[in-house]
Amino acid sequence: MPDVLVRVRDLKVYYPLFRGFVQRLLGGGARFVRAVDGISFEVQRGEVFGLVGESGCGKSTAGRSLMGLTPIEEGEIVLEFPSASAKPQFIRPRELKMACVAWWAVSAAYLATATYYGVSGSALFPFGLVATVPGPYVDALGIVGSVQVLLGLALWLLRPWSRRPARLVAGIGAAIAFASLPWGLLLFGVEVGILVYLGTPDPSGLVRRQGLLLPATKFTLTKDGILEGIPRAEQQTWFERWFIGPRTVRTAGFSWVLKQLRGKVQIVYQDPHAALNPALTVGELLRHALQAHAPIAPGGTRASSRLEEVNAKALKLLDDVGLRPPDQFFAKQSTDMSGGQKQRVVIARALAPKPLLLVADEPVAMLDMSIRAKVLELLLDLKEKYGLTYVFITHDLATAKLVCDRIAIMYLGRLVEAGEARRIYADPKHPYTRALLQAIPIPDPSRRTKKELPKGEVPDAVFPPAGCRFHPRCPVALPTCGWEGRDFLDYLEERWIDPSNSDEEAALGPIEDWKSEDLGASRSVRKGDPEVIVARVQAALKEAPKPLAEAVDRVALELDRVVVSFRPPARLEPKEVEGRIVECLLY
Amino acid sequence: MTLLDIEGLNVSYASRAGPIRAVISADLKIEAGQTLGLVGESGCGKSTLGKAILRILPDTATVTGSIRFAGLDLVTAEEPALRKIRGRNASLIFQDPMTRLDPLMTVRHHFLELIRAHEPDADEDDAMKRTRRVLTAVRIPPDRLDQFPHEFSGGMRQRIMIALALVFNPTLLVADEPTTSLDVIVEAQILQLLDSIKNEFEMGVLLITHNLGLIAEYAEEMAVMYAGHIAERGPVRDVFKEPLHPYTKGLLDSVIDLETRELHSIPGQPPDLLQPPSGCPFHPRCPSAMPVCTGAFPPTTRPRRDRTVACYLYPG
Ligand code: SF4
Ligand code: SF4
Repeated sequence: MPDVLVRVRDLKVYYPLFRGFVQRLLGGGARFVRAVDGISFEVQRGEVFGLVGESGCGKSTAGRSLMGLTPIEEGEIVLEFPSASAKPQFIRPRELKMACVAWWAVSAAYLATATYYGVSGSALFPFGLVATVPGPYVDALGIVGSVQVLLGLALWLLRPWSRRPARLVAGIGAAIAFASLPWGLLLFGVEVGILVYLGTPDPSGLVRRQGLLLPATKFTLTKDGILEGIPRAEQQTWFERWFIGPRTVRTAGFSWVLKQLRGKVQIVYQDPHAALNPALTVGELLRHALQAHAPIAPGGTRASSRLEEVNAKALKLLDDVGLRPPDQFFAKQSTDMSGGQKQRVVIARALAPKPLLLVADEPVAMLDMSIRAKVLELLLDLKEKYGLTYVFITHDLATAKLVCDRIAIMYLGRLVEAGEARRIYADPKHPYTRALLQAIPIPDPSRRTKKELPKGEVPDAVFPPAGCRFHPRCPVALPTCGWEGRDFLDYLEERWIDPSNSDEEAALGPIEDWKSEDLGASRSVRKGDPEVIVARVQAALKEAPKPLAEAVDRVALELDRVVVSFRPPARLEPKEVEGRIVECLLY
Repeated sequence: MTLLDIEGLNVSYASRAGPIRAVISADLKIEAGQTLGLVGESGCGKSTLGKAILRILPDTATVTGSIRFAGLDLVTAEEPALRKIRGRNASLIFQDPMTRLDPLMTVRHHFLELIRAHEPDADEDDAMKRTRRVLTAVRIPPDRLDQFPHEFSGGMRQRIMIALALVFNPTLLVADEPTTSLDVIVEAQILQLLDSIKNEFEMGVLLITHNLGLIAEYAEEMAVMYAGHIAERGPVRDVFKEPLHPYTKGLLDSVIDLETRELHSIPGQPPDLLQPPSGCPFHPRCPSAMPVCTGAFPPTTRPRRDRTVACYLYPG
C-alpha cells in the first residue's frame, strides 16, 4: 500500500486573464494569473496536510487541482490509492448482456443444427464449406455448442464477474477451440473478438474488460488534461495481458476517469449556504450523492438504487456527522438549518462516495466562533472513522496549528515554508511565516504589543515580483532578493505621500512619467535639468531602505533618459532548513 | 465626556412571519477617545445596533428608546438633522468597501461629492486640500486620486473608506466588521491605522466585530451581545480576566489562537430570531441554566465596578 497518497511536482496553474480584443492587439499575447507557480509537496496517507496562506496565495487553487478541477500549465499531480478498496465495477452492462445473448444464439444455433441434421451442419453453411466439414468434427461442434451455452449461463449468473471466471472462460474456450477445429476455432475467434473489443480502452475512460471496469488506483493529472488510470499489473488476467497488452491507458476524455477520481477525492467548501440546493430536503441531497457514485450493476441499474438501502445509508451518514436524530434532519429543508448544521450536511454529502481524500477548503471560516470547534472536532473524528486523509486549506494559522500534522505555507503561488507543523510553529524560519504568526490577534488584553507588520499587500499574481515574491514587503530583505524598477517607483510614491517631500515630487514627478522595465526604471529628462534629476534620484536613494538602495547597480543618463538599474536577483531555491523546506535567501 | 449614550434601545423588523426583535433594551455608552468593542455572533443584533445609531436602517425597522449624541436624540430626530449628523459628526465604515464605493466614480469624485453634500458651495481647491490631508493620514498616495475603486487593493479601498469617514473630523466612528474581508496582515494594518487615527482625531469608535481577538487588541470597553440583548458590558481587561456571563465565558473559551491546546465550543445552535427561547435566550445552551432562567429575561445588575451583566447568577 502506498504511503504517499498525493504527490505534486512542480505544479503550475495559470488562469488566462480576460482581455479585450483591442487590448490584446496592443499589449502582446495572452496574460495569465499565476495562481500556482511551481509548487511541490506530498500528502501522506492518514495525515492532515495544511495549505495555509492569505487570499490569492493559490492555496484553494492547489486544493482544487487535486480533484482535476483546474487547468494545469506544467508539472503533474499523482494520486495513488490503496488497491484494497478497488472493487471491480461494471461499466457496460448492456454490452455484456449483448455479448452473452450473442453467445447463446450462436451456440444454440449450432446445437439445433447438429441435432436436427444428425451429423451435418450443411444447412447453416451452404457456401461450399460443407464439403470441408467431416462428420466427426460436426459431432464435436455439438459439444462446443452445449459448452458455450453453459458458459454463457455461467457468465450471466456470475456477477460481478471477477478475475477467476474470466480466466475460466478463456481457458475452457481455448480447450474447445482445440477440440473442435476448424469450426470451433472460428467460433472462438468470434468470442475473442468480442472480448478484445470489450477490453479495448475506449476514448472516454478506463479499461473496459469484458464489460467490467477495474477501478484505477493511480491517477496522473498533467497539462494535456490527460488522466492515466492504471490498474495494477496483478489485477490483469494473463488473458488480458496476452490479448490486450499491459495496461497504461492514456485518454483525453475525462468523464469516466474524473468520475472515478471524484469518488476518491471530495471537497468541502467554505460556504455551506451556497453549497446546498435550497429546493431539496437533506435526505434528497444525500440520496443524489449516494446514487451518483454508486457502482453500476449489470443490467444498467445502479447497485444500490433500492430506495430503502439508499435511505438507510443516508441516515447513517447523518448520524455520523452528528445530526441527531437523523430521521428528523432527513426530512428537513437545508434552509431551515443553521450554518453549522448545513456544513455538517455538506460534509455528509462529501462522505457519500466513501472518498479517501477530503479537501477541506476553509471549512469553518464562515461559521460562528462558538460552533467552529465542534465542526473541527467532527472532521477529526470522521478522519479516524472513515480512514480519511485531509488537505486542510485555511488562512488561519491558529486553526491549522490545532488540526494539521504537516503544513505548507503559500505566498503568491509559491511554497515558502513546508514541513512538520510542530517544528514550524515552534520556530518559524521564513520571514513571511513569522509575519503571519505575528499578525494573529492575541485574545489577551494584558499582552497588547505594537506589531511590526510587513508593509503593503499581496501583489498582483499576473505580474509577480522578481526574485523572492515577498521581497517588497519583507522586513529582513537582502539586496539580492529581487529588487527591480517598480520597487523604486513604489518607494518614490510612498515617499511623496508626505507633504514634506513635495519639492522632490515637483522635480521628479509625476510618477506617471516614470517607466519601469524589469530591472530598471527610467524617466525622460527633456523637461528639467538632467544633472539635477540624477542628483535628486541619488538623494532619494540615500534615504531609501538599505536593501533597495544597495541593490541599485547604477543611476545614469542614457540618451534623453535617466535610468535607475538594479542588479539581477540571486537564484532562489527551496532548501532544507532544520527539518523543513524553506525558500528564502537568508538560509 | 460621554459622546454617545444609548438607553433602552429597541429595534425590530417587520417580517412576514411576525416581528423580529433584533435589539432589545440595549444600554451603551461611548466616551470620547475610547473604542468600544461590540462583539457577538451572526444575527445577534450588533450590526443593527450600529446602523440604528446613524439611523440607516431599512424601512421595515421600528426603533424605540433613546440615542443621545451631539445634543440630539437620534431616535426622534428628523431626517434633515440626521443628514447633517451623518458623515459629519458620526461616520460609518463597513465590511465591504466595494459596496459603498461607486465603481464608476474616481476617488476624487467620491470626496468631492461627499464634501459638496454637506457644504454645497465648497470650492474645489479647498475640498482637495482636505482630501489630501485625510489621504495622507491613511497613507494613500494622493497622485492616485484620479483612479477608480477597482484599481485599488482591498486594504487600500478600506483606507479610502476610512479617509472618506474622516473628512469632517467626526467625533464618532462606527466600524462594522471593518476588516472581516481582509487578510490577517492587512487586518492588523488597518486596525493599527484606526487606532492611531482615533488618537489623532480624538474620536470615539464603536468597533463591531465577531472576533474577540480584535477586541482584546484594540478596544478599551466591550459589550457582548446575544440574541438582541446585551449580555455583559465592562472594561476589556476585566471582562477577559473574569468573564461573568456564561455566554461570555463560552465565547472566550471557543476562541482559537496560537496557544489553544484543546477545542472548546458552546453546545447547541444559535437562537432562532423568529422564535427566541423564553426568558434568558441563552438558557438552552447554558451550562449553568436554572429553572428561573426560562421564565423572564434576567434583570441587568452591576456585580462589579464598571461591569453590568444580565444573568440570574448575579442577583443585584
Ligand atoms: S528571500 Fe527571504 S529575506 Fe529575501 S525577501 Fe524573500 S523572504 Fe525576505
Ligand atoms: S440567566 Fe440562566 S440561562 Fe441565562 S446565562 Fe444566566 S444562568 Fe445561563
